[in-house]
Amino acid sequence: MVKNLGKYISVGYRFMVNALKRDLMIPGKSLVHILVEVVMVAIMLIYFQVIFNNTQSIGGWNYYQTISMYFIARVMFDTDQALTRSGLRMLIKGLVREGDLDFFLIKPMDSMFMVAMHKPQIYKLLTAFANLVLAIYFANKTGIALHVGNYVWFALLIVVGLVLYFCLNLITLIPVFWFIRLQSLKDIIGKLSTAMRYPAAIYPTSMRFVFYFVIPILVITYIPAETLFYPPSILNIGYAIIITGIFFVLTRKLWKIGLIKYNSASS
Amino acid sequence: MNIIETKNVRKNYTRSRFDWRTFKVEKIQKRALLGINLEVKRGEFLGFIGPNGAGKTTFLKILSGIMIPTSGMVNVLGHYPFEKKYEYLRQISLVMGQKNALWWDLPAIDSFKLQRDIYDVKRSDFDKRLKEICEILDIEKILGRRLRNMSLGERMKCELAACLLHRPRVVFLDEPTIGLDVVSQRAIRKFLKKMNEEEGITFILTSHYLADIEELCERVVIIGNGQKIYDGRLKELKEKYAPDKVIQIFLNDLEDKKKFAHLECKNKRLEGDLGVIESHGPELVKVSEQVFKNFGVENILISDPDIEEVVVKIFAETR
Repeated sequence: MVKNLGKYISVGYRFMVNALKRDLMIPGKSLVHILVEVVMVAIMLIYFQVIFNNTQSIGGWNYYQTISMYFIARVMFDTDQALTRSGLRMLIKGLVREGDLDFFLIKPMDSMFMVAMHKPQIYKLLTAFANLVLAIYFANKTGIALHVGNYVWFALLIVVGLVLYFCLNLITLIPVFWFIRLQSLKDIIGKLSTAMRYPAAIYPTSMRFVFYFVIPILVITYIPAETLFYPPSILNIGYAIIITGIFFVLTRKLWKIGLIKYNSASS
Repeated sequence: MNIIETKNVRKNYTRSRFDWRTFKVEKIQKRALLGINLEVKRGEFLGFIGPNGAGKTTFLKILSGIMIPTSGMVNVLGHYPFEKKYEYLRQISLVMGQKNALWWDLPAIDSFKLQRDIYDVKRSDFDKRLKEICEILDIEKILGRRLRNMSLGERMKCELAACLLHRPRVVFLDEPTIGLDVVSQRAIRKFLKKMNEEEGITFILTSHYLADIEELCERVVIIGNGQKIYDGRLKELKEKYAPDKVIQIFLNDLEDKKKFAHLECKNKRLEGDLGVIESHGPELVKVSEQVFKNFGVENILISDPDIEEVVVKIFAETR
């Protein structure tokens, strides 16, 4: 894949262009989604306001830090949804059960890339960008001095977090190669990711252990957010990169095993 | 030189079922292919015939690398397909008549551009090739139309165009004319024939429409119950399984029917006003002489047996 990076970029770009054309043909759909997103953000802001009317901090984080982390989590959800979530949902919905995965397997490209990237949702990129702006805006309101180093490491960890989020999503979907009809799988990580919105300190030690080392969802949002507000910790950054690497290798392995099991569908 | 070679290819489907009464997992195995041997030369147009569930599509998917065989040797263009080497995948294509590979909500041209990027086709080559294919298939005018607004025939033409844009050497066609009207079927057959003859593309076709097979394939493979029943030329298939010629005589009146009743031959029957005789070899010569002596030329029709009848006969024998 690295050898053909240019080709992957051009195919990824073509997927985006096609998705944009598709969305522009039905503009109402995207507008409604954006409207829902705005309403949801407004509700969450009121929700946090109500909580902070009764307390000074959550897990040691003040109002602006908590809000900023919420928006960081939204950047992750929306970018994931913009790029890969719809493609992965199709894996569960029809690609394996109805045999449409066949078309991806005969292309001279990585099938995991093709499946994940084939149905981007462009409007989600817009909301992801808006959420990023809000995350930075609220981070600056915390009163903590943010340096270039904070932003650089933060940006790197956002990318690492996105890769890890993708891997966790895909790992939960791979059983579809064995059990075929597993629609319920598609939201496991989606449901768990609610826990990604809050500072790690609010969870009991046992849960924190699970969320750091077993299902490392805190690596996806908490570590980038922490790196933004506090001096970057090499230990945390190193751990985030290593655990993401491990999960990526695991995901690739499981995908390949899944493909061996894939039996397509009869004509 | 063979570009496809398989030896003793087997495929079993295993399904597990949990029995809640005994708390045991029961494994149910279905044998889809029972050892298929096949050799295909470059530029051949090979037709696969078989009833539903015979194993045709399974075999096609093994050849294209989508599925892994349970055992046996598979070699296509010098590769083991399931390794999915890009070098191999660049040289093949697959069209499934019952499915769409192109984007449903977008004009066909956008899907073609995606194909161009996937197969790394240079823009100038792509434009030239697209023009060529569009002219043959007569789809220039519909390239800007969304796929979902096209007729089934137009969609299939676009699917075929997309699969040939990168100049594959081997194309697998799984029922490409299914559900199409006669005009579209003819147009697609004409296009496939042209591609095969002019570009030497090897086509492997499965179809339930025997008109496809008759018009396109010199060689046919019949698969039934996962086994190869016949592999040879279509003409020889008829000679082997239905050597008789069919003589049909339109009987105008009672006098003609009496004459028909007095003809000396074994396999004759009356179907309303139509007298039918099936015969071959020396008997055919004798019968023909009698027929032409007794009836007017304008009332006689001599033909080969219908290929569908031949195939039905073979399936019935192997069941």
